[in-house]
Amino acid sequence: MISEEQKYLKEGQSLIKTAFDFEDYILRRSFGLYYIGWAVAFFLYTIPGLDYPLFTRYNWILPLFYISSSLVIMLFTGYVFSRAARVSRFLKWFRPGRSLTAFILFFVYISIIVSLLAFFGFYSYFILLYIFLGIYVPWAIFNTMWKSGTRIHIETWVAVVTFVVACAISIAGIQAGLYYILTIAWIVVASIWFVCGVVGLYDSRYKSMMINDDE
Amino acid sequence: MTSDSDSLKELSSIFNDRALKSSQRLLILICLSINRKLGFTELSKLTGLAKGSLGNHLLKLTLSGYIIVTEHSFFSSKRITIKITEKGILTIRKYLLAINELETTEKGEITSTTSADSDFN
Repeated sequence: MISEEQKYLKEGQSLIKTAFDFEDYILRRSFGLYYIGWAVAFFLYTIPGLDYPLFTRYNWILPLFYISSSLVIMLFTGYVFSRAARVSRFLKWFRPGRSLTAFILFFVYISIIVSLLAFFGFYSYFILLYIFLGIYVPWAIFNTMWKSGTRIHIETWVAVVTFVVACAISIAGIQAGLYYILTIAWIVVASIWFVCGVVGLYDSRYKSMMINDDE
Repeated sequence: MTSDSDSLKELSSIFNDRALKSSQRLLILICLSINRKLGFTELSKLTGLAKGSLGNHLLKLTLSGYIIVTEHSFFSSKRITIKITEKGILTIRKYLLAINELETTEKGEITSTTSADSDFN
């Protein structure tokens, strides 16, 4: 015979599991939007590389593309990380031991990179940038997912691996002076991230276990 | 045993409020305590309830002061947002802490039973 405590406990555990399954579904869809947003940002960033003389005809064109790219990245990253941060804050209270710093660190990173531009030349800046991105972005994604209790799905692995490979190709391309390689690499990454985003959005599954309305 | 009865007392006092005597409403409040606010469509997905049934649950929670429902226009369509109140957050946190306490007690009882069995063997 089940005691009253066990009855409450069983119901409570079932509700908590359902709530976290739902959060996992929501965060997976949010990360889908994140990959799509970054794919758009990558395209904006690499389009000038397709025809440099055309895009440098006027002084304002190139900065416009780079600034738009950065704004798109910040918008979509802010949306996803703020959502993940809410889950993480809850987990920190409910299951102490977890904390989310990636969201804050990302904006600190942006400030540092912009400041570094003043001290390093174009060449060094981009080498440093790709090394930093190749380490930081995968860490930020996995760290966010882990601290918000989200499962790491296949599209995340594909996105992270292609990103790291593209950073490595970019460093090699800059050192060899073959800048067109960067354009090709980041267009490929943008396409793959777009597909990852679509997978995250449409493959997310959640079926409510609350079948009977107990009203 | 003492913490078990404290948790039970806490849960009994929570369930004195008829508005909380429903798994769906508890689930809605748990998710709102994580996200602070959610849309009607998201809650419908969460609970699997039809529009009318979900509306009834939200009405009960609103009348008891656990949530606030706001409606706003988004281009040509209406969006309904449900936000949890401070009372809702405090109540659901008490509920979750009581459940946590019961879970800890049960784990403790299983561990002591296992140790007793090992000693016996």
